[in-house]
Amino acid sequence: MNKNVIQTVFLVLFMGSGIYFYQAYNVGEKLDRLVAIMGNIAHNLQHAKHAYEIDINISDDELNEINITKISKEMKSSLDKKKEKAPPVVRSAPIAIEADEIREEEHPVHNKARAVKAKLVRLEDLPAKFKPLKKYLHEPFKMGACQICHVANTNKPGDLVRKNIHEICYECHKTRYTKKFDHKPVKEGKCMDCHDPHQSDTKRLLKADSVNNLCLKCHDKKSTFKDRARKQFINMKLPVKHKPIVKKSCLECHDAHTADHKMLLNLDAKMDLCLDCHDDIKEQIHDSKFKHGGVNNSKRRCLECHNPHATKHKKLLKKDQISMCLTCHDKEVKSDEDGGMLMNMKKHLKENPNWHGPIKDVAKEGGCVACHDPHGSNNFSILRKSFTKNFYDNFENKEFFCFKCHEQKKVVEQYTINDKITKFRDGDVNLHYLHVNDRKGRSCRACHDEHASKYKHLIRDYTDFNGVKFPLRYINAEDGGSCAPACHKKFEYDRINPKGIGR
Amino acid sequence: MKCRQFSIMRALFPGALLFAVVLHAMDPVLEITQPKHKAVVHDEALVTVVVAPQHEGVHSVMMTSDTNETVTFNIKSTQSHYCHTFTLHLGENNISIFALRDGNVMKALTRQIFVTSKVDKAYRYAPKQYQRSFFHTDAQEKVCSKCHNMSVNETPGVAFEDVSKSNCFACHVKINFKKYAHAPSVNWLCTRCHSGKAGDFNEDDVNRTKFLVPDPIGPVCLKCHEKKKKLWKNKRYHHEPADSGRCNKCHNPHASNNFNYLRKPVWELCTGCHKDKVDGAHVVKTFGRTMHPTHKVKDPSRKDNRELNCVSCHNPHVSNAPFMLQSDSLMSLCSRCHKK
Repeated sequence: MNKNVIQTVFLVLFMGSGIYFYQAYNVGEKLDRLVAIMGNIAHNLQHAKHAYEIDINISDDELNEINITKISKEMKSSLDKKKEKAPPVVRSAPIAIEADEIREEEHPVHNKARAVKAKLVRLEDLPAKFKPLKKYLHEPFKMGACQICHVANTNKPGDLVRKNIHEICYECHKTRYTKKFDHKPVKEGKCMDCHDPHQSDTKRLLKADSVNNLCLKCHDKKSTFKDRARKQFINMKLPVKHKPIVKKSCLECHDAHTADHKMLLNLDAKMDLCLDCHDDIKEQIHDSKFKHGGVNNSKRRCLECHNPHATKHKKLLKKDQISMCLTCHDKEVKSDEDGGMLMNMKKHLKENPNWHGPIKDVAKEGGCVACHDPHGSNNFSILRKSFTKNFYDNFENKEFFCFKCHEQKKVVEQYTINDKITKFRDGDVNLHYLHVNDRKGRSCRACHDEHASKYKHLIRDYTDFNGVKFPLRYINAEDGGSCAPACHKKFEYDRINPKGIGR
Repeated sequence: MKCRQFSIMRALFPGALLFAVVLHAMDPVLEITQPKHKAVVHDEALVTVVVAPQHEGVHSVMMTSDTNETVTFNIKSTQSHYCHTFTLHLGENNISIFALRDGNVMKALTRQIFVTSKVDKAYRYAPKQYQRSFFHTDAQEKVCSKCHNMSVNETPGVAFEDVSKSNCFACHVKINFKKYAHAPSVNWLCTRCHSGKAGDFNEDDVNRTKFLVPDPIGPVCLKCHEKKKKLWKNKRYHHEPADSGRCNKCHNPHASNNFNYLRKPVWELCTGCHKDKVDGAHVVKTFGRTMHPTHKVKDPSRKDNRELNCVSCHNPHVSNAPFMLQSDSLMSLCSRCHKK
């Protein structure tokens, strides 16, 4: 008896725990899934050919029954709802206008039928302030259809049909100005700032006698118009003006209403716009072997140096030539040519009082630009003609730039007593000849500094020989002088009492 | 008691006497700080002798070399060390240093110094007892720095406007007292070569002196003589010293009385190693009764009146032709002088 009870108790406990685990761990489901998977595998192994067959068949009739238009409408409405949720756009959205429409608007044809219904005012009956009539008349004004814009039969004459005047303008002139950048008056709807709604002596019903004068009404330093406009002033009283402004008008470059580029320009102001007309410089800038960093990879490109409107200085430069160059070259600048550092020219000129002719007399000799081409060149250091970088360079058969101004006789003639040819002589021995010719002929730059020097005749204080700076130790005397460079020991020369060099 | 004391005194006396004698013998009177005895001097036949009188009685110090270069210093109480740079000759040099008091020699010392030569085989190596010593070490410069500025005041890559302002100038000025001087030397750009770095052959000397020159020096030379580097690169034959970068074997990097800073005139220099050519039995000996000259005549291939020497026919550095000839073929070489 006892034995049975114990057996049943154990059985019950065993069964209970079994059921508990069966439920807790979903053993049933797992087994089912295992069976299904194994079954599938077994089936696929048996019927391998039909493993990927799909049995969906839609007939043409069924397809026709699907209402595509309805679906599309539903989709659109849902999309519209989404759009409404989006924050309101501040700028008026661009309106797509076809070319024909624009052409129409250039010469707006007014709806005379509508005007006829309204009261037409004859020219003779216009208020006295409009007389005498001017050269160009606004079409509605010419027709006498005042009621297109003005409210008829009110106490206040000249009351407008709508509160905002630009809304009236845009009734007929449908082109909204919707490119990237708008002129501020356009943006604010102040059409009347520039245009007269009735009549004018200038084309396009302008409020001034010419386009330029209209622009300068605001964009003048003395203008009391607007702060920002005054900031972007143009002083057309300066002597050097950009030709298109003088010969034509501001509109050559700028658009009065709207444009895709900053400053209301049709092309990028930094360079593309300029090169659109200046073809020759375009070639030079793009094709030359050595490029000027000022144009090639600066922030403002052409505008780094040039003012596009008017300046005091030649070539529309912002400052006079030398100080223009020295605005950048007042520190060591990285060269585009070889990645080296260009010297601090401002410091160099400041420290060395004897300057090379072209820099000394800019007006007569041409300044920096006499030798360097700021737009780029095929010669190193953007020089206008070839020169050498080497210490030793036989000048024969080479066109050295120096000889554009300096006479070749200086170095070609072995004996001379002509002071005009050269003063670097020991008696009649031309010491230039001695230095420059022969197998190890030295280039000009071995002894002379091209820019400025402490010594007379632009003699260098240090000459660079294979990366070492050697002083020339030049001493100037009345009839000669002496040098004690690294090349030789101290040699003296004298024009009158020769010391016997080169004999 | 007395007796015992006396016995102690008697025992001590000879000891004290001996001590006094030893002390007198050890009494320095004069100390030679530089150079060390039996020192070897390479390259430049110059040595700086530094002496320090240790005794109050010394009134003056006289130094004399073999070549009768004599210098006398009057001793001042303010100055502790006295120095002079002697010019030496190849081989063994004796420098005598005398401490004088009222014209009487208090003490005489000698220093033996051996000067080696790179091209003279007789003086190529110093005798065994001689040892190389270096001057510019921190410890020794301390002595000099009382009077001399021992720092390097050279701006790298910029020569002195006034060379006498170089701190090296005062002691080493004699290096350049020759007919031809090399630009870096005469402009006192010393550290361009004396960089303190060692080459493959003198790695052991790295920290022994501040101004060590790498050996081989070639790479340093070619830093300036860039063109040679390109020129020599693709040639077929190379002269051994030029190839191994020992330019300073033939050239004196500072100054020389010979052209191209050669250590000796060309013919002597070449025959220093190529001894078989000395007797003149060189080139076409068999054809004529007289042999082809190798020196002591004018060089007809040159416009200037230079003497014919080895370099007239042979290139001392590189060549594409056998025998290191100057031109590419033998015929074209002969026809330089033997026209028609």
